Amino acid sequence: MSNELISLTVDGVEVQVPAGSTVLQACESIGVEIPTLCTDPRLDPYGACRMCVVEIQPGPPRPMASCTMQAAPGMEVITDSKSIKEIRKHVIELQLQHHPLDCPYCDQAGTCELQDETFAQEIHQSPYETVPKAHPEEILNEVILINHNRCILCGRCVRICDEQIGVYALDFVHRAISTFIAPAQHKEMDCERCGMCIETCPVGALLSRPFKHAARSWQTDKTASTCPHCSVGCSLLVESRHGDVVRTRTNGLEEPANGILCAKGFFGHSYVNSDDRLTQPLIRRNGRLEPATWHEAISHVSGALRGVIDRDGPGAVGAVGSPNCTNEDNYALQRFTRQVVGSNNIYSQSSGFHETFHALASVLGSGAVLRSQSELLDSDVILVVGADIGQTHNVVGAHIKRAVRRNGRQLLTATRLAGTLDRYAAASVRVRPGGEAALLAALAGRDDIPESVTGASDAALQTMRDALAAAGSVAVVWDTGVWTLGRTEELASAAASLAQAFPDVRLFPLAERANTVGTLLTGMAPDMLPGLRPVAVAEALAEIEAVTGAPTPPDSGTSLAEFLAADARALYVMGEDLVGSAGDPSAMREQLANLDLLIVQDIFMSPTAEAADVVLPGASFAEKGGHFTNFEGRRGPLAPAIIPVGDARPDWEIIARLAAALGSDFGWRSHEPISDELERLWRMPEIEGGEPIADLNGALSQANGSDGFTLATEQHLYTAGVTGRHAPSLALMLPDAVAELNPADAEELGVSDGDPISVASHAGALNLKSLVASRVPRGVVNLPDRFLDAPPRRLDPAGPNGTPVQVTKR
Amino acid sequence: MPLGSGVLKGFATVFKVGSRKPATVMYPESVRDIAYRFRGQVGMRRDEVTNGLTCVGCGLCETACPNDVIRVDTSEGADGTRVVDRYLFDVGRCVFCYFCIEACPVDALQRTHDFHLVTEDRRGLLIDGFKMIEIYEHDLENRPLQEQNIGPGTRPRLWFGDD
Repeated sequence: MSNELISLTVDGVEVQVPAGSTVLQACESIGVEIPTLCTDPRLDPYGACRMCVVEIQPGPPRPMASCTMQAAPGMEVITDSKSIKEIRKHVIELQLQHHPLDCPYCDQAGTCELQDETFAQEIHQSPYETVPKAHPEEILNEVILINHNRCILCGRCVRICDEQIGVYALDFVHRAISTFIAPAQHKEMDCERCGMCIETCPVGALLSRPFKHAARSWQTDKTASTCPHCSVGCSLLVESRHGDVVRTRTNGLEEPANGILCAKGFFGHSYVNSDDRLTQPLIRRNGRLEPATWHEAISHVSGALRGVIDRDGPGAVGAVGSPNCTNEDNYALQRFTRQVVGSNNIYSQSSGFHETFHALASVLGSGAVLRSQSELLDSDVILVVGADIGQTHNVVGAHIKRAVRRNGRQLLTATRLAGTLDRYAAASVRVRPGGEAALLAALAGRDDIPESVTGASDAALQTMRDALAAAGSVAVVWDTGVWTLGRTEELASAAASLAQAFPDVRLFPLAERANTVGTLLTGMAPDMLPGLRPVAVAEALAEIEAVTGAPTPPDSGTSLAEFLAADARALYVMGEDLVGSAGDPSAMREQLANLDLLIVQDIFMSPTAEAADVVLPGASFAEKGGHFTNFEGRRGPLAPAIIPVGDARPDWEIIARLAAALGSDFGWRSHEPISDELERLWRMPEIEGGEPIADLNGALSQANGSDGFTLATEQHLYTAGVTGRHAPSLALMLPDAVAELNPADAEELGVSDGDPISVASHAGALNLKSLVASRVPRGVVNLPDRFLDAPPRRLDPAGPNGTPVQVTKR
Repeated sequence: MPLGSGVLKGFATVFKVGSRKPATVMYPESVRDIAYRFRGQVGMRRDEVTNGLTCVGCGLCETACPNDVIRVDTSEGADGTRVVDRYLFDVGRCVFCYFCIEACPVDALQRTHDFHLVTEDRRGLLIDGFKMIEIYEHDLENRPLQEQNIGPGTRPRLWFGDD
């Protein structure tokens, strides 16, 4: 759209709008309200409802829909003539011929646009004989329901699914008076369960099953917050009533969500009010965890910690932060550990993102990562490697699809599994699990890599290379979930070699969890202080001291594995399940049992908490303030929507109380002073060239050739770890831990959906259920990550990707 | 003033007042007649089909209430309809404005003449929908016949579509 302004008059008032604006936008720009039913700011003009009609002179001698009419210079628009008002009233009256008046019963009442318009048009009685339709409510899937009687056929659901999500699950069926909305092409609905059709529906036709009849829309308290599930950090509107979170919706059209959510954002909040939440502190007495008061718990923990520090020195104490907790919580924990305990043994669980960040920083400079999503979507060519971004970071995937269709970006997919992104890709190859780095290196120009490693033919690679070479800018996107463990170095150096082979390559390693980036920037590492300041640098220590007023110990701690193996006596674990996510849970359990003191602060009872001496109930995302840092480094604010369940307390508060009990009151009574303190220390990675690695063409791991299956691991759209398992709606979408198999492979094995199978590798075996999925290529078995009872890391602790496995029917 | 006249005057007053009809109503043995428009406790109609609450759980009474008296908890029933899990009415907070009765789209809420709100425990003032049905039905039985039809303009309306 050009910046050229054109002028027209609306109801006699002159208005200037950019060329290309619609008449509706021109009217709205001066505050003239035009009623609409089929308009949504996220969608293209459509002109279905005819509510927005205006008279235009000079122009056709009939009312025109202002939403689809482009503004032209010199146009005179009349919005409130008698005939226009009559038309609008008739439109509503005609809709009410079929629309049932069950407002007292309908979940949409209060936010219903048809209800509002009926009221605005002062319609009290229908001049027409009402002919209610009598279709039964139809259940579309686990979470979505459609009431055809209420549908006004505005097409917003059809369009949002197509235009914004790029899935096109819904469509109009039949014609004229018998039209209704149904799964597209009469198939089983190919739905990603993002709930955006429910969100955009102006009436109560599309309904959320978990929310159905739970509350009236005007009774809920609305709190703006940030989604706790992945690193996209979409802003949410949390609606709560009487201390229960009843639903979450989109909040505004701003980055990074741009007005949409995914299944986890829209339906994945109900874990907050789960009955399984920890609601009171537990202290181990006589071998059993028994309920205690906060006073007892704090004095017990502070006494025990003081004992360990006095006996074994502060170096025997360590703490583990969490990518599920806010910046403020993590900052509080690291300040407590460093300045009150006096130890630099502070960790966050090893994640692919942290390793990738450090690897890329050493090659390209730390500014190479944490770039904004708009830079991603503005790139001429977008290359998605490894895991399917449409599953792991669904909202980014949807934005990429939209960028391809709307802005002419070119998408190249080199994912291990087929996905909805492939439909939009200019070229796509199925990379073999384990061959992702080799594929990137091959694209960067290495020609010594055999096809058996990457799984991509030379012709396909050449097509992709040509596309990359022709592009002005390239974005390389990959998920840094558990599949990258042990491979981050080679992935990073292959990506770096790609960055050096083509001009303007932007790298987007997407972090896995909501605050993985935040744990990096708040200094949850033994050698890194807040704001990516190295512990080893004296000025960094001085800067921290200038802000906090207390010294930080100058010697770097050791890594978590070394710390646990050597002199660990006490460990404080916040919001993390060390046992459940370990490659070897029994070894981890044993290491934790050897500690004198294990304190676990969490919202659910985890295997780690079961081994703890003290369990402290923390608060979920809806119960505390703070910030999550998303994959761009953008901080999304959280606000308390409900008071914490039971005796649970925000994590920062527990730590602040503990610090006060140990004689160092930080003076924090809300999360805001922590945010302010962190703000003064906040530093994003600076753009600076790192030392290029001399040999970017180092050894690449080879996928092991074997007769059996190759293991792929990636997070499924409907898995979200512990929180996802405790959210009933998400648990319904994917109830059991599964192993996904290609239909042909499944037939050879003689298994069908839901059959028990066993997946075994050199390191162990997992018993799961099979899920026959055509997205999985032949010879590959995919284990969705972040299920509680089947972490794929048990099959290969070093990195469950490309590992040869045997699949057998049980 | 002659000696003893004060005593006689006193007796005269006693006999005069003593022979009058007493003004005191000996509540609770006897109860005063209640004015036709008297506002008592809000009651609830029994649903003749389900024998449960007539309430459909729309929450309009909760919204109309100026004093946060009512709480309606609803959920989805087995047949997909809205069912009322719990209807709570805190009589201790009620100011008898009857906005809830005005708001009710199915006329589930009804006025009664019941003012027997005395209780030994504050918790006794928190009543649920079934207690409200009891109050309404007790009131119907004990209300003089001509008053059962409450008045012009308040004929029992049914839900939409039945006019």
